[in-house]
Amino acid sequence: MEPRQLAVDPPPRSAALTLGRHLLGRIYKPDPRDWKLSRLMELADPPDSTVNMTVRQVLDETPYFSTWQNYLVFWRWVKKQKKGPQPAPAGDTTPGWDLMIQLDQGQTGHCVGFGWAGWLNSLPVEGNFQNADGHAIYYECKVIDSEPLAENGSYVRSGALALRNRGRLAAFAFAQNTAEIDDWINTQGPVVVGTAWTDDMFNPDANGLVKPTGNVAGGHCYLMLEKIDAEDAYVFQNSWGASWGKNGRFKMKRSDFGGLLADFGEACCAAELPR
Amino acid sequence: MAVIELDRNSAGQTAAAVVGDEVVVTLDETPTSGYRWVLETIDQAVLSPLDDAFTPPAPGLLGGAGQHRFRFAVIGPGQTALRLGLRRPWDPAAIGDVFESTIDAALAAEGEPGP
Repeated sequence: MEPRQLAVDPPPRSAALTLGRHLLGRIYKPDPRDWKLSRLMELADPPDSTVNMTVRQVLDETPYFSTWQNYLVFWRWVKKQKKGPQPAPAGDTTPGWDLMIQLDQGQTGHCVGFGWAGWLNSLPVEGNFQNADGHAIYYECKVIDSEPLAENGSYVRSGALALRNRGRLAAFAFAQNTAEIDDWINTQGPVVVGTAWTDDMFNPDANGLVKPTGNVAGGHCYLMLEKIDAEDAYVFQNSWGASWGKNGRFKMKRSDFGGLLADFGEACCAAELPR
Repeated sequence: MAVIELDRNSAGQTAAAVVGDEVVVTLDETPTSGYRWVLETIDQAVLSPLDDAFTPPAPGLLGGAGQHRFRFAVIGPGQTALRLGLRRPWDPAAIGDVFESTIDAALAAEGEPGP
């Protein structure tokens, strides 16, 4: 079998940074090498000969995954196959992609590492990343932030770069609004988000719903798993263990999340690569 | 009235106070870990909680730490442990960090300004 080529990034261009929107009050610097979300979405569906195979068959028996773009379209197909009733983890009645591992960042501010570790655990490519991996990814972020070992938090984008360095992520783009998020999550997969976290978000209601009201407690990174059309809400995975919320998950109305996103939040859509 | 400021470095130490003083404890807190400082132990004949407030981290980084500030009035003489716990309200079994200091309060000497 031909060796597979992985993680072919967009062609390198100028590394110069341009000043852009503010992220949670700080100057956020979009990198011109980042992909536009629309460009990621333009890729075509996989051929019919491929869609009838399992992921393992495609990996082992075909040269289909010779470029990362084909991973992206294949995940889109896998996502379509996942539509419909799915087995849910015990005690968890929320929809969303299977995510059996409940991570817990403990007392640390390592939410960026845990948001991305959760992303690795979720489909398209299921992972087995544990708490130690969340911490490790955080410290890789701090190297990227040029503050090695600092315990002062990080950025969603740094997590994307850390996973790209690991060869687990090909390209990423930031959604600018909930419409773009919907396009991605309906067809591709989870989205790593970073927003303000307010006092009332600590206490989901009986339905697992949080309201982004009250004082801002800080910035938090978490994982958007799925959109529930019937409730006009998103399902998220937090990193506070299974005892919080609904088996570690929570929901937020789409309009509420849109408000957080517009208030200097960020939502990263990324194409994942298998190990 | 004196204000006695305590922080992480004051843990395990004894602070002298006079009835009428104010004790202020300031500790780093990362609320987006789910852990928040809560008051666990004081002798309410010696200290009376006034209020507590959280100052969030500077905007920018996700997961940054802010500061939680607790104020107490010294209302009676005696010695008391002042114990704060870093806890997740929904999970009492989750054992986080602990701050404990001792406050040794005396009556104001005659001739000294009272509260």
